[in-house]
Amino acid sequence: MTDFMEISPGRHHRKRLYLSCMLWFFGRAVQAAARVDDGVKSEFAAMPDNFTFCLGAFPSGPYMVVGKDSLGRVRHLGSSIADRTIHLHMMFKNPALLFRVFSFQESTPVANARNRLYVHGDVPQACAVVRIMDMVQVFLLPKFLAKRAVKRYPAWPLKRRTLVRAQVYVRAFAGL
Amino acid sequence: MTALNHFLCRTKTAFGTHALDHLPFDLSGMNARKPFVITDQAARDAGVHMVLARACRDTYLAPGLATLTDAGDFETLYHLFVDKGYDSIIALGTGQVVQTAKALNLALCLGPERLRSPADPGQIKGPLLPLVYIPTHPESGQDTAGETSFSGHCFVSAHLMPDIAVITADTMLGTPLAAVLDSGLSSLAACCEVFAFSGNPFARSYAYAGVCLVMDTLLPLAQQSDHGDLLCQKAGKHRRLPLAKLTHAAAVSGYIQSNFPNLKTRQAGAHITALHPAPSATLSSGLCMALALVHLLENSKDTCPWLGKLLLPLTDAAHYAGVPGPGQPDAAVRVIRELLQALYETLPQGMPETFDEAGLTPRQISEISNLLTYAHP
Amino acid sequence: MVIPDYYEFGSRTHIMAGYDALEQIPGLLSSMDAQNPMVITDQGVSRAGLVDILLQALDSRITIKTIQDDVPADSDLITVHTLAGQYRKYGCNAIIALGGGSVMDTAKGVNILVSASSDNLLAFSGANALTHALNPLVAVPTTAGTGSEVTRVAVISDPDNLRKLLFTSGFLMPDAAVLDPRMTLTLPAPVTAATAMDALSHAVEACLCLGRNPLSTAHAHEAIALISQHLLPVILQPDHKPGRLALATGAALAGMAFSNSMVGMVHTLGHSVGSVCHAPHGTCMAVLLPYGMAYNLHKTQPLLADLLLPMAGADVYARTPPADRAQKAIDWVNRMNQRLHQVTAGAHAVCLREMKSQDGKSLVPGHLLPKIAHTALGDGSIFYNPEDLDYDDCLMVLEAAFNGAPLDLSRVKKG
Ligand SMILES: [Fe+2]
Repeated sequence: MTDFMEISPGRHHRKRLYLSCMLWFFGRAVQAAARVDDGVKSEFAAMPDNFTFCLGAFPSGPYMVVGKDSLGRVRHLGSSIADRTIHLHMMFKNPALLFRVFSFQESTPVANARNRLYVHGDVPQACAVVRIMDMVQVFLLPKFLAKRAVKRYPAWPLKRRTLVRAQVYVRAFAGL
Repeated sequence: MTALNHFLCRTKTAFGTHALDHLPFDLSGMNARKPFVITDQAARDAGVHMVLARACRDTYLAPGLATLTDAGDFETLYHLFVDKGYDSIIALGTGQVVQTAKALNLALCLGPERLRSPADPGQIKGPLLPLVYIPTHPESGQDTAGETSFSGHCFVSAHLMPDIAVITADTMLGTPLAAVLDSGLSSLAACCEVFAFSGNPFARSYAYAGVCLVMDTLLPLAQQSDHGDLLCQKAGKHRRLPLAKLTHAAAVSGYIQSNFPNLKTRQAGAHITALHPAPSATLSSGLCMALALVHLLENSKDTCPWLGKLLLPLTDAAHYAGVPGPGQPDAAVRVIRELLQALYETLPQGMPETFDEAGLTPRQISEISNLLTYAHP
Repeated sequence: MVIPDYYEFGSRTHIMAGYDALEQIPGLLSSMDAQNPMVITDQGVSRAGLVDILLQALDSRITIKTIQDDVPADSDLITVHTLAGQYRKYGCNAIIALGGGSVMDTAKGVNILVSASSDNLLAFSGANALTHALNPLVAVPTTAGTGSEVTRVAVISDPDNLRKLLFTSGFLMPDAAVLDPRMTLTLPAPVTAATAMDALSHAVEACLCLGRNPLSTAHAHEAIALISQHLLPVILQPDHKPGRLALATGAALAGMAFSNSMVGMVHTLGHSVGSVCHAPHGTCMAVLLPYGMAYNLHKTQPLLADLLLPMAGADVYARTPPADRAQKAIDWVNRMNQRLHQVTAGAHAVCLREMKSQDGKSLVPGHLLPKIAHTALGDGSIFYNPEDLDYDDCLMVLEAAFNGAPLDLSRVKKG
């Protein structure tokens, strides 16, 4: 007689909570960097107004939503994609794979090379978003971690490494 | 190149760490939302299904899990699948599990009565339901080939190949060394034969990778085993990864056997196994295929145009390029002989190195020898 | 063998390669219960008499419902929608795509619409938008280069919105690819050279880029060996059937390789030269290939060294000291370009400055290089390149390739 059961995989609450926190802070840092860093500013400047993108995991999140409003201001829009038009989705194929990246077990370029990510939307805009995320990661992470997270650690001038970085941190915490 | 080269491999290979995490996404890409998992008691006892369950966390997937206990419960599987509205099949295991999964797929798409009589390959029109194959140990290549046998009938069609083969150390189980050798040697024989005797570049590319995978893993695995004991049952990742690579090689040899159903080494292997009514652990069909391979290569050393090139996947570029062209065929055969010799030394009970030692009579050897010749263009 | 932590490899197209491969089409179509195909092709192919050769090879099992030969050089939405209408009007149940990359992309687009009974192609762009097998599609390439007969992508331009739509799905791989040397026998030498170098660049980039894996590398090495051995002989003797078949086979193998590993900066820059200057893709690839290899040298030295074996053969490989093999592989590509330049009487360009249109005008004016570099930053393949590239890096490489000067490796930033 065949033994049969239905598996209900359930949810991984702790990992989800961790990811939500990381994504929330990362989103605020993107918003902060867009205000104070020229590199991030110019990438956003090339995007159309009212443009919204999200970073998240298949099939149902968690997400980080960032957008440019009608006045061209970059804002972190929280963690919900409901009731919103998202122009660009950058998605990991499984929350577990997103977790690997946000717990620094695997870098984004490596995850991408391993086909763990997919993009829904315009490719040039996706390229710009990846460059923005690379810059924000260099701001947020200590050098030894950032070196693993990006393909080539940039040689930034002293002011950008210190002053601008401090501003990004303060504003990300303060939500400015 | 020969007049017509054709090649078909319907299966996508997904190999490596966290491979199962890709599965929910890949299934949704085939419009599959309710997979029906078939597994066996060994995998179930080892908790391999939990690895799959973990990969489905935070996704919409809610798989059903059927554990095979004996061969007679096909009807039960069929009705479970239909009644509960599943839409795809995951074979979590090897051998019987996969044969059953393929037969179930045929029954679901063509009607259960189709399985009661043999079918022509042409009669099985695809596509069938999505079939995912998650092996738990190395096997002989039948799992990924486009064939299955059910209640005495053999069904052959490329549509029976799995859509995805997910091969990962995370699902590898303890395996007796004899089974590891059986798998490794049969993959090696199938891949070497195609690489040495076929000018089909599509098959040769797969064969090349298959040979490299076996050469990288088989001997180290045998040397690590504790006198033929179960591998990796308690050990950590360092044994499961080479096992996964060997399983990868077996999958590749299945793709190749699907395209080359009349491999000489396989025929000779079947012939020898038939001569020995109760195949012993020391004379597995994989070993027979390896012995047949050596014989076949020796027979055709002067006539086979690609034999020398076989040295490349058997060793590496530097070694291959360092041997002058005319010496390459001999060097290739020597590498295989040396591998068999080294494997032999790892086994407490020994292993026959020639047909003679395997206990075949001179008449039987000459019969097999006749099987093992290639006519060349 | 170095195996990445995780990789995927799949190529579900049934390959038929041989001197009478076209004659296999009726059998292939009947095995899929599809006896009423539509032929999609373009004017150039039809003028070269290839449609006639195809028709002669088919037999009574097949009824061609309609032959559509109006595919433009750049596949676009309007053509796709028109052809889908014709498919339905004539009651077809399969497509035979006869042509180069643009015909293949168009046919894939048409197949999406007719299989899903839809009138809106836009709904099917993006990941996993296609979830069902499509109607039978048989690809018969008439150039040996793009590899589209085995790839899972289709690029279709949307002229109204000035953008290119990218469709990616395993289901876009044609059911069968029929490689027959009769389809490429009359290809002019410069086109043969450029398309073969495109295929070579697919194979080389498949071995170097971040998505590389053992199966894609095995396919790519086989492709490189075939192209290296047969390209020059075929240019010198264009009607050499075995050579033509070898090039077609090499292109398909390279297509299978890069479809699974992706490509790198040679395509990043090449796509951008193509879209800014409307320069032919193959020639851009030929010019940029050695630059892409040199730029990534410090990150891919052993991989480049491995390429020398299929490129130059065992003797050269054995004679070259291990430390010099990578550079020697780059030199080999440079020399191949120069030889092709000679044997095509200068038609095969070796630098961007030299690329000319048919009426002799310069195709890539120097003042557009900054615009090309800027466009390159928006090409997805940039992320699969081993070393990072910013605007300055792109411009530096383009300037060197423009003048045919060797790349100054000291200016490659190594992070
Ligand atoms: Fe290309």
